[in-house]
Amino acid sequence: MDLIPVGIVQPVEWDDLLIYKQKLQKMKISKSLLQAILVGVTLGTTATSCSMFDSITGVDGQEVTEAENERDRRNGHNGDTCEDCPGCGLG
Amino acid sequence: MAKLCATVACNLDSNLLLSSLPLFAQEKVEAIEWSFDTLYGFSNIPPWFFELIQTFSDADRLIGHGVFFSLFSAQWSDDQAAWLEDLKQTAQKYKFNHISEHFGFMTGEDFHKGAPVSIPFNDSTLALGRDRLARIQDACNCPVGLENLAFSYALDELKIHGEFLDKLMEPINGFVILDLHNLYCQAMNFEIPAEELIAIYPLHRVREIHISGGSWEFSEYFPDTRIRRDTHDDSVPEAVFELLAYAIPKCPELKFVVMEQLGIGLQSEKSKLDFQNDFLRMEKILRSKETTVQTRNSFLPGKIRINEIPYEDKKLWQQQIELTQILESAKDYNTALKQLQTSSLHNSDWKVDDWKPHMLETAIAIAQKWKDGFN
Repeated sequence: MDLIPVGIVQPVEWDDLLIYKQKLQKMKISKSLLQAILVGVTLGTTATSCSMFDSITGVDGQEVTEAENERDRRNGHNGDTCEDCPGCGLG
Repeated sequence: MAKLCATVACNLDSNLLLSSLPLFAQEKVEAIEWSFDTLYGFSNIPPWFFELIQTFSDADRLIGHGVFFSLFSAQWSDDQAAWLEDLKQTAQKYKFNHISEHFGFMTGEDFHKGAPVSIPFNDSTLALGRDRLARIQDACNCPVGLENLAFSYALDELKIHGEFLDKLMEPINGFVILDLHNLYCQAMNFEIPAEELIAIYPLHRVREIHISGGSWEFSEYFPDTRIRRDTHDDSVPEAVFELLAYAIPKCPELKFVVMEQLGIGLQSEKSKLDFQNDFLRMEKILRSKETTVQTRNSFLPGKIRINEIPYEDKKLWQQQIELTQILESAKDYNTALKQLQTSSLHNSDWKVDDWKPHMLETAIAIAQKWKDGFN
């Protein structure tokens, strides 16, 4: 069914409008990004660590500085795990 | 309410991302909630992770959920100042639809260690919370919210939690995250109907709902008592799905419904499938409950005033240190109880004599579980 974009003055059934809005709602992620995530997390899981990332440059291509690594060590983290990240569940 | 976004709590966690990938590929994930302050343990962040964040940011489908700010720590710290500066920079780089944090203060000497526990509800903690919320709002310049806590010391304290949250959020016109698993924990631990508990919260401020799973633990000292813990390591209980369907029509400003789970509970293929099925079930509930009525509150404040010097309460800070030491070091419930009765918390607004024994036992377990952080 071809739906009329919102804003065009034509009678639209509420159900159609809902379906149209749901289509707008969808979030498309590029195949290349999905593949990059899959490769990244699969290798990470196989290796049971994220140490593979150590050879990858950081955000915006910048190498992570020794100062940042020192901060991580001070916080008690060795930066080599991507399991059980503390997003939630501190109960 | 407006269109509801089926959202996944998405962090740099292999099992969580592996579990979410099929949902991403099927375009089922309509928004992500990122705990932006949890990357401190990584030497290098893979570029694809930031690309994922950027993708949702570009579509205005990114929400932020802080973990470590410790809103009610009664003494201002350099770590909190640094956290705000990091948030400010992150919020300039990515577009957050909104930002949230947790209620309570974090036990633990280290900024990244400890677990959130509750505080007395009085004028001083109200001023403290409002001061910190205003600073967060100033740093991120978007709507700011707080999540209801999974843990209370006593039923009387729980009953006024919603009213206190409402007062806290008023100056910044903030929102509330209604975490339904947290609510389920409280309902189970205090033997009160969850539907009754929902009514105590300021539902007109609920812009986000969380669902997740957790675990049961039997009390060591009270054998007939089992405690529900918000451990996020199992699938979503049936009761929480029922609560979701019940709660949605009562929250007119609702926008995001988030499923949370830790990667530690997603190691087997079955658990990954359960996670995906839970998400699809959540999405189905959203689709059946949403309406075309638009939300009205922007959850942005008018002009807010921030004091140059952060609010502090030295007496409360000493009590928080004392409580942390007791919870983290007590070898058992009886020892902790005796120490509390001779501490500065006794005969104060903490009302330690009213604390439910099994909840004190749980507070000890939570504090000792997280005192070394996520190592």
